[in-house]
Amino acid sequence: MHITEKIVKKVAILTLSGHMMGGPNNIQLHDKVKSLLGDGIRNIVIDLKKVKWMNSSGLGTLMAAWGSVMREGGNIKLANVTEKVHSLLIMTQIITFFETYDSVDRAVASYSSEIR
Amino acid sequence: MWIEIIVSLFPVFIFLVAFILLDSFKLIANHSIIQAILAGGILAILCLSFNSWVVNNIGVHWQINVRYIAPLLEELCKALFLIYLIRQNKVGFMVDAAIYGFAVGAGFAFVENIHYLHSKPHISLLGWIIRGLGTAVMHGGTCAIFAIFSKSLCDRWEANKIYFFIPGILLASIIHSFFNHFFLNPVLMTVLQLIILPLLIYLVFSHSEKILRNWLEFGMDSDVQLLEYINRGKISTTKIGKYLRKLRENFSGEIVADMLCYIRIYLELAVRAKGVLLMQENGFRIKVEDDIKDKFKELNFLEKSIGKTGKLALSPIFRTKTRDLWQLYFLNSK
Repeated sequence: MHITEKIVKKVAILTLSGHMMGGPNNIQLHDKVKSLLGDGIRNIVIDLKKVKWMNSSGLGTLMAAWGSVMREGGNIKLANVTEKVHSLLIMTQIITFFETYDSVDRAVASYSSEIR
Repeated sequence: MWIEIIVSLFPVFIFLVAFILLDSFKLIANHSIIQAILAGGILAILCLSFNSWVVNNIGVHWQINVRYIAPLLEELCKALFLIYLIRQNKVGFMVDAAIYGFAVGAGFAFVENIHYLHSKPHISLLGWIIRGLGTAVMHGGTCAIFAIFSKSLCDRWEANKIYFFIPGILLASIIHSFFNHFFLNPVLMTVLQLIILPLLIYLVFSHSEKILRNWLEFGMDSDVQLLEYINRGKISTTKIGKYLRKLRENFSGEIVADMLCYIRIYLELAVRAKGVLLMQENGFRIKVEDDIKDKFKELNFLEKSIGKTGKLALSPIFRTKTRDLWQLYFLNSK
């Protein structure tokens, strides 16, 4: 799994690609989220467009990252969730923790509307 | 008196709370732990009555009773509740087996110590550290060892046969009997228990957690994949679809359709259970949606519709081993 980071209007956009299947890559995502929190960035969008599949470890990492962000008063929103991953989130009921958006722009914009 | 009560009764519950906190997946609901403690207490009352009957009516020397008869009887009694839990698929892993075991032992020791506090009020504080704390930890420990040992045997053979529990009862009875022989200095024995038990439980917890993670990872992937095939109407292209088609030779079309529905609902519940485990591991407690109760009702209905023969026919293609059944109990208890 590969992660790229971009900051737009104080919102961090993390673009993931590949499979979220556990191992060091997942730890990398959580570490990245923690480092953003350390820099004072609490609003995060995770772009899952290029994530083809996610297993229980991937879901666990998402949950752990969400927990860290929530404890700091922020939020993680998901964008471009593929149909396969979306159905996994629904089946496991983990979807209840995340807001999902069709595009990264919409997810970022949703933070602006919350601030207003 | 209060100091004696605190020394003899509370440390064992502190141990129990520590074990519950160590369980990162929160496998057992609080009310189930309370039930286990109560069961232990009730079994202690039965054992105390039986022990005094043995000494008073059969004329067995008290030392023989304490060293050989009581350990076997008490371990057998404590095991009864755990055997029931394991056979009903209410125990999924060694972690929850250990917690249930320790909880039964703690309840047992609680009642036994109250009995001793009442019947022997003049024992010194040191006496209570040995008699109260030592015995309480021993009861919790042997019961936890029985549960861990039996659960691992059942897991290894993927069945809950009654004879799988005999070695665990014997092992727990031998440890109990060794404790009652006072081969070692009682203070040393108590200290040793306080060191060994947490270490043992820690090892069991870390080993069991690894097993749980593997099961979660492998199980979720295969369950989700199969569910996807069913939901997309592509099941006929799979091995399971071909097998179901073959079953039509022996079962009516309606029954085979019910079998497919049964598999689908079962898988939905299995994936949901694994999702709840993941959330709990990360410290989130959620109330499962109301549709789960309906799904359980539907599952029971379908189970009756396909019957025992139908379930047996599904067994070559469909995993319904102890742990797979436990996850449904786990979800239903939420």
